[in-house]
Amino acid sequence: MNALTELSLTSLAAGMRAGAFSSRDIVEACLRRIDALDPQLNAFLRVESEAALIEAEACDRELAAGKPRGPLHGLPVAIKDIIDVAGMATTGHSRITIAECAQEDAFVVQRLRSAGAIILGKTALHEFATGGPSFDLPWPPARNPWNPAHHPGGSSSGSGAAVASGMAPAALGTDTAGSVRHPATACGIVGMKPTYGAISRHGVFPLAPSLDQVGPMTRTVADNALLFDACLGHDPRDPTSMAAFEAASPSVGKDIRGLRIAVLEEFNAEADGEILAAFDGALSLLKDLGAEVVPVTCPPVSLYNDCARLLIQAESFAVHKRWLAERALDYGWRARTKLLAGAFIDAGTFLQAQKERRRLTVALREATAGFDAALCVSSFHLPARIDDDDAIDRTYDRQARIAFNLTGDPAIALSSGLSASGLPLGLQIASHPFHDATVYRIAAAYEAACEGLVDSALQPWRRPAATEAL
Amino acid sequence: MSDTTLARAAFDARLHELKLHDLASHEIDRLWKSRLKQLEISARLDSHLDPTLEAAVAFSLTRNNP
Repeated sequence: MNALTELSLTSLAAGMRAGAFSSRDIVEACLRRIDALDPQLNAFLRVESEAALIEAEACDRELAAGKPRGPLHGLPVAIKDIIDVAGMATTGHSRITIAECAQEDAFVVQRLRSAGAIILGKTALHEFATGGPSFDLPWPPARNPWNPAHHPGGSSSGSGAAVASGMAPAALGTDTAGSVRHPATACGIVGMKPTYGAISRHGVFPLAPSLDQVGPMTRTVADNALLFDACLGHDPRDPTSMAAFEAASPSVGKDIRGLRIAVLEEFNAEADGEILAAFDGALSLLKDLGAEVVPVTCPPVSLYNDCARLLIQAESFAVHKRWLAERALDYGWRARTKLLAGAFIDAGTFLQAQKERRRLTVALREATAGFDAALCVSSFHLPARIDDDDAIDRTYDRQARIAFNLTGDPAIALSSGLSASGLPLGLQIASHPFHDATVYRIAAAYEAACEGLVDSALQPWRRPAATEAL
Repeated sequence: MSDTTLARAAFDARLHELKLHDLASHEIDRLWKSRLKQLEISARLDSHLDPTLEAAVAFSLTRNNP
């Protein structure tokens, strides 16, 4: 039998229901894996061992009594440490808020608990979800489980590393400029940025509120849909929260014959050769599955990235303005310089960027009108070495993710193979607002067709941890 | 004076205003590069955007959501 830490959320749920193992078995396996691997990967800022085990035992008793809480009953989930969990500090991986204890769960954490999830701990991130891996913070940056000398992507870096290493079967991240999809791509897992407003952000510390979204991170598309569905729900305390939203899980497993998929060639233009070759392979697979794949023209991705740059700088400076005035030196150098950049943007420029946002959103709508979905790469480059500051800086400016934060469209990042150097490659599937289920449908079909594309022995969640107690 | 000289003077003045003019030189260099990029993007937006275009601001007013 596979180790419990290799199994998907859906397999864990089925195995628990069948009595093959208990919630306590799963949580203990995750805790052993964390003990063995986290000293090298730095994915967690805080692990809630005792509380998770107590909760697991309660779940086991409830299941034995025939009263499961919901679809995530007894399953552990890790939470990016920018999302409130009652009784724990929401540090944002920063000295600034290191002691800010949350009084209540974020709405999305409440939703997960209602579905039966067990909160395993809080994961590392780039300071306040910006900047990049910084070595001058109270905790070291997370590392890539495929090769710890490399960056795991960010800003939801700990969530990506935790899921890809098998320390947790699922995690939540946040995505303002690709911060769920970047670590998903760099760590070879699945990361979803839902339609803006699909998941409440109440209790989530903001970076740039007009772009921020919470997103699920898992190792399979079906798991991601399961987590997404559990996160849904109208929250009157988030003014962007939608009243009703279509569940994604029912669309997983449906065929994609006859679906029309636009290829955003402008978004791929600057990607490395290996990433493009894998992308071309994905196009062939989707055609073999019966989708109609058509190249379309849209504005260059650099225009989307430039527009988002101004908005993120201005909005994040507004969030941090008081702390930057009073405690600027308490930030790490990367976040300090990223956040301070917004101090130089005048109101007229900010509003011009908001006009550009509307223009670019309309342009993407026109380019993809009549299509069910759109396809493009995720990163332009392989994950950089974590000690190469210049390469890491380029990572954030040169990618095809931000466009979907600007437009509010749902977009998922998933694996498209491995590079010759053994690092993950990835692509994105996007769709129109509220069509998250279509994204999952295509992603699941593609994932199924990719079976065997990556040698499973190489996947870090399947690798034995040398010091893991069995 | 060139545009960049004027921009640099305004940049330095803003840093003084924020009392952050004595940050490490690599941080000031990074901020300055970022400022130059902002100016480049801003100039491009000013040159091509229709002045009557509605900004994508978030505020909206409905009977249910003030």
